[in-house]
Amino acid sequence: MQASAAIRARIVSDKVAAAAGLDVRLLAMLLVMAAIWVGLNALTGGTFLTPRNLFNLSLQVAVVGMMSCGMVLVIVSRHIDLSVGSQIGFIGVFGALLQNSILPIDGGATWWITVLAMLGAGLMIGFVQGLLVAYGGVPSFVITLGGLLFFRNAAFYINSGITIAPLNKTFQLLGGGLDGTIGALWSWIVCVAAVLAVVVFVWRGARRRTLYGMANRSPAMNVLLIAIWGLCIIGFTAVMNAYQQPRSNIAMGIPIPVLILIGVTVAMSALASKHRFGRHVFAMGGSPENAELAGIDTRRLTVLVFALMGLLCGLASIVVTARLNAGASVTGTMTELNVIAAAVIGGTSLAGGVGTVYGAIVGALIMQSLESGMILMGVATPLQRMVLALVLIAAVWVDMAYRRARMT
Amino acid sequence: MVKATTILRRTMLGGAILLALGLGLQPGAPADAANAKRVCVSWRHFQEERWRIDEAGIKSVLGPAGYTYVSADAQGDPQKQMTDVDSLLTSKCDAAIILAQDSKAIVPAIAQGKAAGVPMIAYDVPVDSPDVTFVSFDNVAVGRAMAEGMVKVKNSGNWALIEGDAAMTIINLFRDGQMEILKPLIDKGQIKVVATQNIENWKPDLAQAAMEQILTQTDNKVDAVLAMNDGMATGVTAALAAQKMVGIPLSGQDGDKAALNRIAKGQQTVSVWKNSFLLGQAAAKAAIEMAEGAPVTGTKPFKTPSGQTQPSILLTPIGITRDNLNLVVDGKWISKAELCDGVTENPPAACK
Repeated sequence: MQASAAIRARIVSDKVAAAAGLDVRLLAMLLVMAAIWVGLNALTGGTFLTPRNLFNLSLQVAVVGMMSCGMVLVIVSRHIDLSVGSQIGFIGVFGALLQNSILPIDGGATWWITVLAMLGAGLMIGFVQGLLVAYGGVPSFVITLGGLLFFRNAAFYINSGITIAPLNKTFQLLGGGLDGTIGALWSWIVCVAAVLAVVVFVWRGARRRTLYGMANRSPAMNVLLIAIWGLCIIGFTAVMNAYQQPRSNIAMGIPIPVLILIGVTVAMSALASKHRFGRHVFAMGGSPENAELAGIDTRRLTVLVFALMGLLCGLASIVVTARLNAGASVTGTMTELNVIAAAVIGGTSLAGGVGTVYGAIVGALIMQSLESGMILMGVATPLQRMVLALVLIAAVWVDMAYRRARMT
Repeated sequence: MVKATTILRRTMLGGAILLALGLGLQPGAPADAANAKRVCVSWRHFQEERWRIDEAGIKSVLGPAGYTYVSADAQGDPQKQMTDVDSLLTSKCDAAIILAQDSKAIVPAIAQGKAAGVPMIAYDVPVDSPDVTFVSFDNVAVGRAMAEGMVKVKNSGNWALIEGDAAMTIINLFRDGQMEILKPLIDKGQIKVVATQNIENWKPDLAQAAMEQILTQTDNKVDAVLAMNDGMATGVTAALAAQKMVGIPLSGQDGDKAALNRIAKGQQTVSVWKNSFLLGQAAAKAAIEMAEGAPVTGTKPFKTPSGQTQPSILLTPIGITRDNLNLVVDGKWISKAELCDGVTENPPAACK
C-alpha cells in the first residue's frame, strides 16, 4: 500500500512538473550534481567551487561532452560506436602531422586547413562505418570494434608512435590554453546574446502553443523559466570572468572549447528534439520496423547518425590535440567508455529510442566532477576508477527503477 | 535473406580467423641456410616503435656471426606468446630471446624451453625463473637518473610526482630509483611531495588534467614535477603553459623527439634515454655465447621479485639533459634540425 502511495505521489509530482514544463529527470540529475559539488567542495577544503577549478572542469569536460552528444543519437538508434576514442587519437595524429610536417607550421592558413581536414577525416570515418552498418548489415558493435582496433593502430602507424609537438599557434587557441579564451568583454557579449536568445525562445514557444491551441505554461512560469536560465548563464559567465590569468588581474573569460561545447549541445539538442532528422532517429530507435513502414529511410538515417558522430569526433580531436599542444597516438584510449558512460548516466537507454543530449552533458559533468574532485583530494587512481564504476551502475539502476515505477 | 547474411557472416569470420592464423604463425619459416644456427626471438608487442630499434641491434650482431634470426610476435597476448614459443621451439632454436608480455604467465614456456635444452634470455622484462639470463636496462637506474637530473637543478621546494599506470609493476622499480636520491632530501624536509598521481595507460591528456588539478589544489605552489615518461611530460607541459609556469624542472623518460626538443628549448630538464640498439646487441652477443655452449661474459646475479636468482646483464640508461644533448644526435636517435627546431634564446651546446 505504502509503495503504491509513493508511486502515486511520484506520478502526481511528475504531472505537476510536466504542467510546469520541466523535465523531472533533468531536475533530479542537476540536484545530484549540486549535491556532489557541495560534497566535493567540503572535502577539498573549499577548492572545488573556486572559479579556477570550475574553469578547469569546464575545459576538462569539453571533449567527452561533445562526443557524448553524438553518442546519444547513436545509442538511441539502437547502435553503438566503440571507435570514438581511437578516432580522436587517429585524427589527432593526422592533424598534428598535417600542420607540423606537411603545411608550413607558422603559415597563416595552416590552422583552418588543418581544422577542415580533421573535421573531414572524422566525417569520412563515420560515413564509412555508417555505410557498413546500414548497407553491409554487419552489427555496429562489430564494425566499430573493428574501427577501434584499426584507428588505434593507424594512429600509431602513420607516425610510428612518435609524439608530434609543438603545433601551430592559432590552432592551439582552439584548445583553450592561456590565450584560448575570449576575454571578459566578449564573454559578457556572448552572455547577453544567450539571455536574449532564451527570452525569444520562450516567447516564441508560448506564442506557437497558443496559435496551435495547445496547453500553455502560465505567464508566471515563463518568467520564472527565463529568470532561472538567465541566472545560470550570467552566473556561468561571472565565474569564467572571475578566474584571472596567472600573476595578473586580466579576466580569462569563456574558453574557446567550452564555447564549442555549448554550441554543439544547443545544436544537437535542437537537431534531436525539434528537427525532423532527430524525430526520425527516435522513431527508428523506438521501433525500426514501424519507422520503416512509416516511410523513413532507416538505412540512410543510420549512415547520417554515424557520420554525425564522426564529425563530432573530428571536432573533439581538434580540441584535445590543441589543448595538449601535441599529437600523441595514445590520446583517447578508453575514452569511448567515458563517452558511452556519460550518455548512459544521462538517461540514454541502451535498448534504444530513449535519451537526451543535455542529459548526456550532465552525465559527463557528473563523471568529470568526481574525477577532478578526487584528484584534488589526492585519492589514488585505482580508487577513483572504482568510484566512477559504482556511480555508473548506481545511476542506471536508479533510472531503471524510476522508469519501472512510472510505468506501473 | 537472413540465411544468406548468416552464411556470409560466418564465411567472413572463418576467413578472418584463417587470415589471423596465417599472419600469426610465421615462425616455422623455411630453413634457408640448413646448417646455420638459429636464434629465436619471441616479441611481446612488436608494433611499438622502439622494438624495431632493438631488432636492428640484434640483427646487427647475428648477421655477421652467420646466425639466422627467427621471430614471432605475440601482439600483446600472453596466451599467444605461449603458442609462439611452442612453435619456435618446434622449429629448432639454438638460443631463444624472450620479451615476455607477462612475467609470470611466461614461466610454463620457459619450462618447455629448458626441457628442450634451449638456453634462454629474458629480454627487457624480468621473468620469474632461475632458468633464464636477464638482459635489460637497469630500471632502478632509470629512476635514479631521472631524480639525479632534477636534483642537479633543484634540490628543494614542493615537488609533484606524476607516475605511470599503477597496474604496471615496473613503476615500482622506477620509484625505488627515484627515492634513492630523493628520500634523504625529503627526510631533511628540503623537498616536500605535495601530490602523487598515477596516470592510467600513461596517457598525456590524463596527465594534463591531473596536473591542472594539482596546480589548482596547491595554488601553483609547485617547484618541480617528476614525471615518469615523456608522454606524460607533454601533458604536464601543456598544463604548466596555461599557468605561465613552463621552465620549472620537469623529468621524463624514453628520449621522445618532442621531449628532447623541449630540453633544447629549456622547457624540460631531463629525459632518461635507453639506447635500445645497444640492448639488442648485448642480448644477441649473449645468445651467441649461449648457443656455442660458452659461458656468458659479464653477468651479475639478479634477484627476481619472488627471490629467485638469475644471471643478468644490466645496461645503464643515460639521463639526457641540456649538457649532453649531443649524445642523442651522435647516436643518430634524432637529427640536429629536429632537436633544435624553434630554439632561439640561450641554445644548448648541441644546437650551436
